Amino acid sequence: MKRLRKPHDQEKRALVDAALQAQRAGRRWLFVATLLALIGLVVVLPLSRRRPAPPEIPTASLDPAVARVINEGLGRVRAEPKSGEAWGQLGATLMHYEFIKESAMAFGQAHLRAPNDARWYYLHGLLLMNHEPNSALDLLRRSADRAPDTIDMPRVRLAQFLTERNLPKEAEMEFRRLLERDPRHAAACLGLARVLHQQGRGNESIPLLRPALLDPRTRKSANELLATVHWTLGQTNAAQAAVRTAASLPPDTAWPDPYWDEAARTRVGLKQSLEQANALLDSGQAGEAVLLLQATTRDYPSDPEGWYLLGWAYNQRQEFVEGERALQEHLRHSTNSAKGMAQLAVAVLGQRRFAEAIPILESARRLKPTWRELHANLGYACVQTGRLSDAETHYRQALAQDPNHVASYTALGDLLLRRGEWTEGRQILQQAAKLAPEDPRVQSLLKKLP
Amino acid sequence: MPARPAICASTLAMAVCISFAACRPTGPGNPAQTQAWFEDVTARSGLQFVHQVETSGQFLFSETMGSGAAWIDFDQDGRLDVFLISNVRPSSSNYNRLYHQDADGRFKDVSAGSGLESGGFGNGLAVGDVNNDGRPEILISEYDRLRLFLNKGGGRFEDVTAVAGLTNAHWSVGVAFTDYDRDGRLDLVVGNYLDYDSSQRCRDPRGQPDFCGPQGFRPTLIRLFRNIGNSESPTPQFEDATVSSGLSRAPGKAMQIVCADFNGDRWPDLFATDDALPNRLFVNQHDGTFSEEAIVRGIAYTGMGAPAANMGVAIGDVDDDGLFDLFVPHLTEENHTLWRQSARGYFRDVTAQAGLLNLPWHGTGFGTVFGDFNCDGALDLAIVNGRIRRPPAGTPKPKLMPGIEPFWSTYAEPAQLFANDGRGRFADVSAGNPEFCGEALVGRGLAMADFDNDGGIDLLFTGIAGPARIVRNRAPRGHWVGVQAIDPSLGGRDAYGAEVIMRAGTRQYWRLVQPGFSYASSNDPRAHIGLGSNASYDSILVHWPDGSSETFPGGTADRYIVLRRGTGSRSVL
Repeated sequence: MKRLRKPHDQEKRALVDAALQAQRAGRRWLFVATLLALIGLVVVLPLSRRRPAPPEIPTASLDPAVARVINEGLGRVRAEPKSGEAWGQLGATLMHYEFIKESAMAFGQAHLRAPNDARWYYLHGLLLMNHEPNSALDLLRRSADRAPDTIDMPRVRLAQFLTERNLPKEAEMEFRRLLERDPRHAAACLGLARVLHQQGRGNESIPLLRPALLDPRTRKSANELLATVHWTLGQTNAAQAAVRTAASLPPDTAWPDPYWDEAARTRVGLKQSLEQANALLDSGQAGEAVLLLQATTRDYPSDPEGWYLLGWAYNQRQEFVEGERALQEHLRHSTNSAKGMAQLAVAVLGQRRFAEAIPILESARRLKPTWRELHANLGYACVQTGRLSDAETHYRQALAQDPNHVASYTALGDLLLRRGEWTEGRQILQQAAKLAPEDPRVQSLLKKLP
Repeated sequence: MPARPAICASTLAMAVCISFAACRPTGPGNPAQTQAWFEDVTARSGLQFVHQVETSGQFLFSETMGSGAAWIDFDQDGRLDVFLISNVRPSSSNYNRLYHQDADGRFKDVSAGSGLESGGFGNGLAVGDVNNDGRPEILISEYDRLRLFLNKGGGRFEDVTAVAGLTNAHWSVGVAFTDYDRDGRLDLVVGNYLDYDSSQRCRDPRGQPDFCGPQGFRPTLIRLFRNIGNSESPTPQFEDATVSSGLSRAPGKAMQIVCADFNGDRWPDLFATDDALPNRLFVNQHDGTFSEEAIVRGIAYTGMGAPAANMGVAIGDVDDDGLFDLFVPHLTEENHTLWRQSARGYFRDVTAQAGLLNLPWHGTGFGTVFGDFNCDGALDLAIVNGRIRRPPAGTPKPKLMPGIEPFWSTYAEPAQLFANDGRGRFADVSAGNPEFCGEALVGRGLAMADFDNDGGIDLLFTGIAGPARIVRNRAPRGHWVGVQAIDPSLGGRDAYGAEVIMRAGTRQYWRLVQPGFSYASSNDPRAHIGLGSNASYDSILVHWPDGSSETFPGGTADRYIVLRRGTGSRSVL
């Protein structure tokens, strides 16, 4: 076997020289590379900060109003590329229309240009909560640290997010920071009580809940949590009482969220208008809903939903002639709309054209046999036109669809009493009274019983 | 306040992080196991079913509901057969299909002449022997009706809905059989969804037409139909007990029903997942009535006190404490929820602790099951996903399952699989299971069964306007036992509601005999227990649906056994 030869001194020196040379060359390259990187940073970074390209958003297929606000936002950042406000507003606009990546990019630019603006960290945090939780947490922290004392929502959201992610110590700390500022801070009381309950410290959570039980923004949730806490502590009666209280309460109102509300102003378009109109109608603000929907039907005249809601809003205001007109327009665009027919019948009944309402209701019922209101209104129309036997059938059908429909029990009970059918009338009205003990009409009918 | 450069640097880093995150392909996470658990055997099994839906192009909400799947041994030959439904007009030529599993393990379409070859806007399925003749019936929940098909033997079924008194014109999805009054006859629970108006049109935030969500539609009632049939007549008879039972007092928007004993009194309770509303738990009061107790028992809301888009439900004891837990998947935009039963009858959201919160990726989950797929003694988790709304702009498109209608491909998402580490913590093993999780579909139904009786749990799943698939379990497995719990006095039917508690060494395993869970589907009624390294078990305790308990002796693993009520030793609890 051939032996390996040891290198001579000369060769050794040559090898060492070569290595040193290579090392020197490497250093030179390193120096050049570092220099280039520095030049790059000096030149490119300011350039990129000076003229960041706004994201490409395809707006052609969007609702024209949505396309308009997006283009306006893009225009603002083109005009004021160094403005954190412009980038932040663009981020918020894009967030609402689910351009997630582009929105995050815009918020990133906003942070660069307005590093102390809590709004953009907050909205950016909300944007990433679901799929980038660690980034979201960091953003929410930044927002909470920068928000003024008067705006507590970033810290509330941060604390809630920490709770959800099973980081109870950090969550508790954030809730306690809110409580240091306001010991009766309802959202913090509720949140901290939840954290303690989850840690098996139910006894500690009950006194904490007190302020939250009274605040309309938290009281339903607080009563529900209280019920769960009592139950786990074996206090079943107290738990059931809290459940009953919670059930009797309306949904909690929203905690003030000025950053979100401000950002939501860029929400426009048909969907937004209809959602807003629905919310107004649900809260009994039919007059405002009419104004909004008049504009909506002007902007989107071929959309049936706007006409339907307008008709419904008029009906709520008992302006049945206008309601009928809007609902006829709705049905022109949506011929098989059971809800449209149902509301049209309400407008017609409101004008005391009882016989005319019956075929409209029949048509609607063929489309939606499960709707209690259709049966009940048919019953009412039949009573008004003297068709009492048919009315009874319709009321019974309404109750077959929904055995909780107090109006149908009441109307059927009334009908039976008028016919002298006291026994069944009493049963029916008692059923109504069980469901709605405070209902004045039920009480007055029950008083008529011999 | 930090110095300006530091802020810029960290902000830049964050922006870079976001941009990388956006580039990262979304989809199931990292594999934790080396060999895939499932292989797709659809083609060689002979199952050629493509779910049909009448896609109107008008984004009708009812089109997104999908349809479930059912395992049913309709001819009692010991091999599970398959029944699959579509969501089509009753007059359609695309009808529901019954597949018989032959001795060679292949599925043959035996729909013709079976009495089941009709269409309908089918959503959910329940399987149960309602007349105690030993043959399981099929119940289909549809958009506007129920249909009960009586199993007459010889592969023939008869629609007896009307004569049985099953009237429900509401849109129903999840349905389940249970003997809530312990009279030996299976009653029917119908999860009605919401009062939908098909003329309602909805849009996405950008103003483009899209499917509606549940908001804005009125909730409906869960219907309870009490079985009042008698032994003289094979035709079942039901009476509507919705009002008398008290179920009418709590309307909701039910998606899936699970019937199990939630409070340990050995009476079946009813749990409903409710879409965007608090879930409902009706606790049996032993007198034909129920009390709604979801809030106090911690299962109405997520741990944050918020309702979610609760769809399917998986039931099983994931942490081996002898108490079952529940997993309910929600929307892509939400986090799924795992409720652990921490004390008898009380549930706690442990999603984060179980490693199921803020997953690298998750979809809109519908069908979901707990099953010990590798028989290591811990229940694993499978979910099929499919969106109900168009995804946000720029969402990466997953690889599609071939055969899905193009319209629906926008809503397709891959399925997911999670391995339980034995302590109730889950790891996403989807990437290692491409034949179950690799191709996206608009997933809805998911039903598990050991269809080839080899001890491994197999999966059958369905998607809207796409092919149904069967994936066969080929996981390296530990020991196992399959238990069929039957009651000879009730025609030998499966004892729905029975709890099977197997003891092996230092461990005990809890299983429920009840095929109604997941989403709109019916599963293998047998209890399957993975034993890990235990080649035998010491004893089996069975709590029968009538409230009695019996203990059966131990035995050797890796086989199916039949436990007959009345043949064990009486257990006094």
